[in-house]
Amino acid sequence: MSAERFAYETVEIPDDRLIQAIYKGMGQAERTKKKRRLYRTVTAAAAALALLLCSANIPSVYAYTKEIPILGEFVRALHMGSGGDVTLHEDISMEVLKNELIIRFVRKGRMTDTVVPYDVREYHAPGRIVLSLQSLTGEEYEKLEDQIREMEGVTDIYQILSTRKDTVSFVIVLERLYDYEIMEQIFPGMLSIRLFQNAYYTAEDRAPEQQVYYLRTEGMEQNESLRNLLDKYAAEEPTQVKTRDGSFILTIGEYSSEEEAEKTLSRLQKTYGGAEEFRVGSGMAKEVPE
Amino acid sequence: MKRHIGKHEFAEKIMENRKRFYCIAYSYVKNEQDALDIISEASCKGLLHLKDLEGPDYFLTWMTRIVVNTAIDFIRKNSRFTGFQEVFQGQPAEIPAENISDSGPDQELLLDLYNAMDILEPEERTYIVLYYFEAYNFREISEMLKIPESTVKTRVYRALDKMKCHMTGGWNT
Repeated sequence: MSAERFAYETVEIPDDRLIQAIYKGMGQAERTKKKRRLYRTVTAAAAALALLLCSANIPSVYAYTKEIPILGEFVRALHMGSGGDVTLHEDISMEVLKNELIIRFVRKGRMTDTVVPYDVREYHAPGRIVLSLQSLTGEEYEKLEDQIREMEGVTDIYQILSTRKDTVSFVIVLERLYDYEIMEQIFPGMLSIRLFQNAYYTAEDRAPEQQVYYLRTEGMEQNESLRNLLDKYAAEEPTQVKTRDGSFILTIGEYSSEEEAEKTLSRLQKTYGGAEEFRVGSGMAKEVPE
Repeated sequence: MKRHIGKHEFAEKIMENRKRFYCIAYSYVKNEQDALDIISEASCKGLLHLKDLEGPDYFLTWMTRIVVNTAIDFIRKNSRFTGFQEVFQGQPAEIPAENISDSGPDQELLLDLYNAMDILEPEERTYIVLYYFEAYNFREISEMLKIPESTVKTRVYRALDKMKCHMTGGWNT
């Protein structure tokens, strides 16, 4: 027997784990490289956002996506939008690096090539992210919630009713001055949530303490009547917000003046025959509604 | 001419040779988890420094060097042994009997050789692993480690001597 063959036959090779280890290493390298590149982009984006916020109050449409090629596949870094693919999985694995949470999906002991379909939206009053993940079990969500709650920059996290049966939606309430970035990587699939302090604001603390106006309902339980309202006003893209006393309200729109909010309310009243559930409310980025 | 390889090609090549790299890493740490950690870190380093690779033909030697260096670093960082003496008195790592398919004197000898490597310093192990178990010749090892061929030869024989001393119960320090 040759010495070379001997080494191979004597050492038991955990091939699945070996492949996983290689993926993990390559993913780590990509993230390191990307962080260097992204740093500039993020700073620029933060400055652009800050400018937008200062000059035009709340931007009505704020979305950017970009795709970076990686290992022949791609990574998507986004602020608002959606991505992912049908991903059969049995479990999720999480890794916390300071203020970054990395979620991977596991099937038959291996990491999946893609991530589950997801959707992310941002709102300003109060400052929060609404994240929806498809085909996530309750147990997996709980694991996720525990991890996210521990992250720096997170004030609160709570589950909300989802419009799709197989989807888990939840709200991450961010601390003042915190911004975020969602990154998607495939081959292997990886979804990362990174929270960071907005470079522009931290310098002189110039966050606009501006009032944001929206339409809101009274506080409700997370029950059928809330779901009915969600369905009724689905076209207005209502959001669910947890109030200070732990009940939930629906809000529609974010406007920089009371007049705009009033205008929308009167339109709703015409379209939905009164829309008496809603009234105009207002608040600031750090203000949880009553 | 120098041709850089892409990330995709890198991924393919590392996958192709993964078992080989794993065996090298394993021979240093004799422990599954540590070997996997070494491979993971080496893959990361390799991808980060891909532009230093002179061309696809050099991939195997280049990546082997990274694995070897990562393994040596790993042992340094996680050293559970304080020095040579302590290792010397310890029992060589055991390999489960079920992993040995057919046992002949040849195989027993190799197993002894494999286990006796534990008494060597991490750098010395490199020569035995590459020369005997990975079947590289002196010239290839010299290219891989960027040291003269004559030095490789000397070090292989010195490492062998040291192991021989250990296996025959003699001291050679």
